[in-house]
Amino acid sequence: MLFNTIDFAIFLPVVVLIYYLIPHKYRWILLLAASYFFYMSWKVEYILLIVASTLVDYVSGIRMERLPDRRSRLPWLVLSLSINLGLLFFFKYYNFATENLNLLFQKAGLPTEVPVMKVLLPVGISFYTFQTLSYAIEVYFGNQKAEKHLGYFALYVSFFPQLVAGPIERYSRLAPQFRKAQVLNYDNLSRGLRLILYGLFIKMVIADNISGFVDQVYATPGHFASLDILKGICLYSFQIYSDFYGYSTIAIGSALLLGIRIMDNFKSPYLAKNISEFWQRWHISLSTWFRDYLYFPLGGNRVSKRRWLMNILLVFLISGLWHGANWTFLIWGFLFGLLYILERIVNGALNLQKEHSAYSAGHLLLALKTFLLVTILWIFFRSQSFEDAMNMFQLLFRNSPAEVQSLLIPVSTWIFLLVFIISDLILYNRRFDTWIAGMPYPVRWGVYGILLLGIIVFAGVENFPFIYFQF
Amino acid sequence: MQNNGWKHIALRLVSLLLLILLINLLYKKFFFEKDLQGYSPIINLVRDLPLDADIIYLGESSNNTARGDDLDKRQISDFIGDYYPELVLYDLTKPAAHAGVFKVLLRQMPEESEVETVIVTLTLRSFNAQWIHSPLETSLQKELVLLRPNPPLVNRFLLSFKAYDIKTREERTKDFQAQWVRDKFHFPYEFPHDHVREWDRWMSHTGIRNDSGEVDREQTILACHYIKAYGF
Repeated sequence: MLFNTIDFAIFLPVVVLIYYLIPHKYRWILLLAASYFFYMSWKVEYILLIVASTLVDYVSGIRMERLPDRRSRLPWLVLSLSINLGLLFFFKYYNFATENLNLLFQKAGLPTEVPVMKVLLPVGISFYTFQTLSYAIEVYFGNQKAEKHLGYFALYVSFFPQLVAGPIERYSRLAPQFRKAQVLNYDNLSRGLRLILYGLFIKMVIADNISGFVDQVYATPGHFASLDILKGICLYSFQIYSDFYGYSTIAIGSALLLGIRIMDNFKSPYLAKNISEFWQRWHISLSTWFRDYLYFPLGGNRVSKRRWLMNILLVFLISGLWHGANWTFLIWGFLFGLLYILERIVNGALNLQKEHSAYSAGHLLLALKTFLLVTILWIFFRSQSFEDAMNMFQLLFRNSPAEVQSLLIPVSTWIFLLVFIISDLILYNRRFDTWIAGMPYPVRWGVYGILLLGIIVFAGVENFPFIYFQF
Repeated sequence: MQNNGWKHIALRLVSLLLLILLINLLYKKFFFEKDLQGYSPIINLVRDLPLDADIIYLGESSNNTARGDDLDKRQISDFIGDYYPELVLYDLTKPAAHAGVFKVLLRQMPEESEVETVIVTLTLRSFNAQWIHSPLETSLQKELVLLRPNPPLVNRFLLSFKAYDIKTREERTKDFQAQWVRDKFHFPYEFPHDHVREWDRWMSHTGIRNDSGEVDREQTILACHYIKAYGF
C-alpha cells in the first residue's frame, strides 16, 4: 500500500477516525493491527520477520535490564544484533556476497560454487532493523528502560507511517507518545494534512514526472546527446530528493494526524554549504543513527587523526552498503567519505569556515558546489554497475553522435520543478506546515490550490514506487 | 473541540469545496481533452463511430486475421456486414479487449446515436486464467479510468492515485497460476487430473507419446495450449 494510492487515501482516514473514537487503552491494538495490515499488503509472509525481530528485541531488552552490568548483558546484545543483522544479511546481502565469492573462486581457479538464492527483499527491512537495533543498544548501555508491554514494543517496531522507509525513530521519542492519551486536536490535524498535501505534491508531481526521463537516460545513455545526459543526471538529484522527501513528509503528516510527532528527515539538503552539512540535512534519521551507534562508539573525532580518517571512511562505507547490496553503493559511500575528509582538510587549511548568512551570494555559490558534487556521486548510486557509471561519465564528454534521441520534457514539468526549487529555498530551516501557518489566508489557500491542482491534474500516472522502498 | 473550532473547520471545508470546484472548472476547460488523448485514446474508437450506424460490432483481435494464407483477409465484422447490406455496420476493434472494456465503451456512446444492435464478441479463450490475468490488463484498466461515469476531475484524481487494477507482470503470473489450481476440470468422463497445474506438471514429466513411445513435442505443446486456453 503506497502513500500515493487510493488504498492509503481510504486506509488512513479510517484508522484516524477509529483511533479517536475508541478509548485510549485500546488504541495500541488498533495501531498495531493497522500497521501489520499495512505491511502485509506487500507480502503477507514477511510479517513473520517483523514479528521475529520484535520478539527477539523484546526478550533481549527485558533480559538485559535484569542484569547488573554491560558485561553480563553483552550476550543478549550479541543475540539481538546477530539475529537482526543476520536476517538483514540473508535477505539483502547474501546474494551479493555469494556472487562475489563465486567470482573470487572462479578467478582462483577453484571449482567451488556457493548457491545463489532467489529471495525477494522484504520492504523496509533495513529501516525497522535499524530501529529495533537502536532500542537494544540503548537498553544495553542502560540509557533506556526495557519495554514490558509487548504490544507497545511491537507497535514501536511496526508503526505504519514510518515502517517501510523511516524516519528511523528512537524508542525514547516514539514510545512515550503511544502511551499518551492523544486528544483530537485541530492543530495536529491541520498540520498533518498540510504535510501530507505537500508530501504528495513533491512525490506525485515532481518525482513521478521526472522518473520516466531519468529512467530513459540511465537505461540507454548512448542514445542521448551529452546535454540530455547531463539533464538526466541533474534530474535524478531532484527525483531522489523529492521522492524520499515526499515520502518522509507524508509519513510525518500521517503520524501527526494521530497526534504522534516523528523527527524531520530532510532540511533543504541541496542548500548545504558543504558535504558535512549536507549529511546534517539529508536522511537525518539515518545520519544520526550512524553518528550515535557507529561513529561515536568508534571514538568519533576524539582519536588520532589517522584513526579519525578511518572512522569517517568506515561510517560512509557502511552507510553506502546500507543502501544496497552493490559495489556502486559502496563506491558511492566511499567517495562521500573521501569528499567529506577532503573538504574538512581544505576548509581547515585555507580557513574557509567563514559563516555565510542564509541566501547570501556566498551561501548560494557554496550550495551550488555541494549540489554539483552530490549530483556527480548520485551517478554511482543510480547506475546498475560501476561500468555503467563510468560509461555515463564518458558519454557526458563525448561528441554527440549524428543520430540521437531527444529528451522531451514537457514545460509543465520544468515549471513545477521550478516551483519545488523555490519552495525549498523558502523552506530553508523551516517546515512546510509551520511556514504556511504563518501566511495570510488568501496566500495559504492559493498555495493549497496550486498543490491540489498539481496533485490531481499534473501527477504522473505511471506507477513509480518510492525509491527508498528498495533499501 | 470548542464551538468556534467547529466553525473554523466548517469555513475551511467550504473553502476546500470552492477550491475543488474551481480546479474542476479549470480541468474541464483546459486539460481534460489533452488527458483523454494522452491516457485514454481508446475514446477515439467511439468518437469515430458515425451516428447513423445501425449495428456496432465490438471485437478484439479475433476480428482480424493473422494467417498469411487466408484468401480473404477482411474482418469478421465485414462478413457480417455482407449479410445485412441494407444496414450500416461499424466495428470497434480493440486488441486484448474483453466484456469489461466493451461495457465502458458502450457507456461512451452518444445519446443521439441510432445504433439498434450491438454485437459483442466473447471468445471462449477470453475466459481463461491467462487472459483474465493478462499483463496487458494493467494498461487496459488505466486507459479506462478517465472514461468512468464520474466528473472528469474525480476520474483524474482516481488516475493520479492509481485507483485501478494495477499489478506487476509477476503478480499477474501468480494470479493466473493460482486460478489454474482453483478452476477444477469438469469432464463427463474420468480424467486423471483435477486442474491445469496438475495437468501441466504431469505433461512436463511424461508428455504425449507417439506410437513408438517417444514424446511427440508438437502434440504435447498443442495439448498444453488447449488445456490452458480452455480448461476452466
